[in-house]
Amino acid sequence: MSKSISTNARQESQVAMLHLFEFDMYDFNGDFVETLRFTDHDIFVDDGTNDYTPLAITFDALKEDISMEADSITVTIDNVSGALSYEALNSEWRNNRAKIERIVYTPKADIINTETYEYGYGDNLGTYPELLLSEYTYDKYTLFEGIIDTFNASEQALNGTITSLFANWTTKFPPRTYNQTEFTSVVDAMVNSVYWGRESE
Amino acid sequence: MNCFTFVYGYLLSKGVYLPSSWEEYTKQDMRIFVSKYKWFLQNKMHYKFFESFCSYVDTAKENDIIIDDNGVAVAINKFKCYGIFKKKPTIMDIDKNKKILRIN
Repeated sequence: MSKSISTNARQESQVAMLHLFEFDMYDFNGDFVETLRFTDHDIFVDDGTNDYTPLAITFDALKEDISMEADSITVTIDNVSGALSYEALNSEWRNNRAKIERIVYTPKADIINTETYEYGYGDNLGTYPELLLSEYTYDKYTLFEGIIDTFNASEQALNGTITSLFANWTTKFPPRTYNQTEFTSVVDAMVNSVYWGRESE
Repeated sequence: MNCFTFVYGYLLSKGVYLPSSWEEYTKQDMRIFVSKYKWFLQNKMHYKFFESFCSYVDTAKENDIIIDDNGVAVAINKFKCYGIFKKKPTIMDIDKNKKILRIN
């Protein structure tokens, strides 16, 4: 996939960046419920198809190398308000698809109540403030896509480790029959059975 | 504008109609309603008002009423609501202190 930034998003050196997060959610019976869509932008983002909810969500720096260490990324969602507690405790997060996309765009200036916002403010459509990407020139690419490997929730934050699909290329994905005390995560189970791309002896 | 009139106006723009009267108050008395809104909040009258035509639910969806001791707002989705905070329309979390009411 291309990760280059075109001239679309480099007019007058005003480049803004936001991320879109998607998490597939299943109930405890294994039935698909919905796809949760979040953004680290400060207002709602509409990509023309879906609405992304603004949340305090961060992820680790992505590391890609040739070591046999399974490639993964940790995502943290703030839950100080407790708004996500119900969702965290009533859905199965592990083993589900997760995707992080990066949007690079040129924000337009907005004037609200005679005050000029050089880098834009958002589009108030008479409802709630929302960024409509269709009104911007932007570049979009998938930063990371994989499955949620580990997940834990506390009163303050939700933490998840997303493992790249790359990790599954030559490895047989272990069924969920391993002992949780022996392998604390799916990745641990895979790393334990794989050595330099082949099954360990 | 206060949280009540904001919720009324917002839902009206979405095609959701709330009762135009409650006890001795009618929509025509909106001026009294606005001027007395602190009294409404202090006496938790807003709970009684919305409970009269809504039911409590566990998770929010679009256009549900989000209520706490400080006022009311409208749900955008299950995580966020839109209401008046410090006299300005603001997106807020639907936190654990807020209750969710769905219009019957």
